Amino acid sequence: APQTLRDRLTAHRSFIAEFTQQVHSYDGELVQEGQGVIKVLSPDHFIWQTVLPDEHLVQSDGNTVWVFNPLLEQVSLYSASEVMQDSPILLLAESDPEVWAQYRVRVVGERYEVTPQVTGGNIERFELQFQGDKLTELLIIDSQGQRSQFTLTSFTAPAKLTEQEFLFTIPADVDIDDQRTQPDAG
Amino acid sequence: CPQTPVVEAPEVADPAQAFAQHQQSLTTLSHWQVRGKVAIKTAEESNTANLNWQLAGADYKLMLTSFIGTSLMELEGDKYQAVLKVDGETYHSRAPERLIYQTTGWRLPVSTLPDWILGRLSQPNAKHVLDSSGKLASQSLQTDDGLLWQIDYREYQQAGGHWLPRKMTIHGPEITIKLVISKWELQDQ
Repeated sequence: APQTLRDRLTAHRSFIAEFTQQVHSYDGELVQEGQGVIKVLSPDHFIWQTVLPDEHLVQSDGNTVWVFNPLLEQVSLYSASEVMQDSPILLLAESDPEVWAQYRVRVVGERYEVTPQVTGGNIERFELQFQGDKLTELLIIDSQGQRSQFTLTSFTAPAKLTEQEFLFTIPADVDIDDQRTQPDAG
Repeated sequence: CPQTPVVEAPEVADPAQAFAQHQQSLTTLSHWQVRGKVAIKTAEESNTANLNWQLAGADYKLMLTSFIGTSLMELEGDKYQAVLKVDGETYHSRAPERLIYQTTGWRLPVSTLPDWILGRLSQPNAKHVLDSSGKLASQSLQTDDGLLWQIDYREYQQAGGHWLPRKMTIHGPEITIKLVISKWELQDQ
């Protein structure tokens, strides 16, 4: 049987790739675009850094997910356990079979179509395209038919990544929006 | 990839006169699109999103998108009515501002937003402060519904031969909107 998607994603203990993102609305209009880097260190360690048109960062060390927006001088903190399964991007680093069980995966050649078991959420489905063992595309289609396509290049696996790298230090004079369920004492 | 350098507009001898000219130049801009990031903070919560705002005469379209690219809110309308899509629901209304408040808790003065985004005085007698190059540093005013607003312009950029805002903060009743514009697209008719 074809390698399951989870096997494919966790085949690399770690990877780095560059991405360009284009978002098109249901009628094909370009809504947003961006460029950046994705770093993944299994399990659950993840950096998704957008650099163009402006800086934006989503980072997880498996416990906390930081969403940092330097231009807006704001960082939001979430419990990883809560947001992990909501965002397809974070699923790239997800290894927990229970989380994956909430999705139906269909394989067409080297393209995986992933649909949430529970429908009605704002994500209709997302697709991952591989070439050999390289992930080359992530496409997210939302309930309005909006399509967010990430084209990945310079896919490097394994990548020299350390866990410390995934710990985010909050810069000074930045608004902190802590939405974690039980923020730790620290 | 280099960050775009922040270019300051030159200081002028007579800011008031430069201001009049700058405001005049903005009146020619009736068809444009901005893309950027927005942080909307109310008493209850704070959200950040990608913003795409388009204006074509009296017709406007606002699209808020999450960072992974999913649609958070879409508002399309003109002077008389608007269609709002949010949380999978679609609403039609002749009073979009009240509708937005009811569905999202945000006060969004849709009719005056285009002027604010342009850096244009939205009321001729609004209290305002100029920067050294004769552009708006801030404007304070009361909208028709009696709400008080102040818009601070923190940075400008050049686009299509015009000086246009890059960073601004809109202070309103129980709401603060921080907007950073990464791309201006001007259509000259």
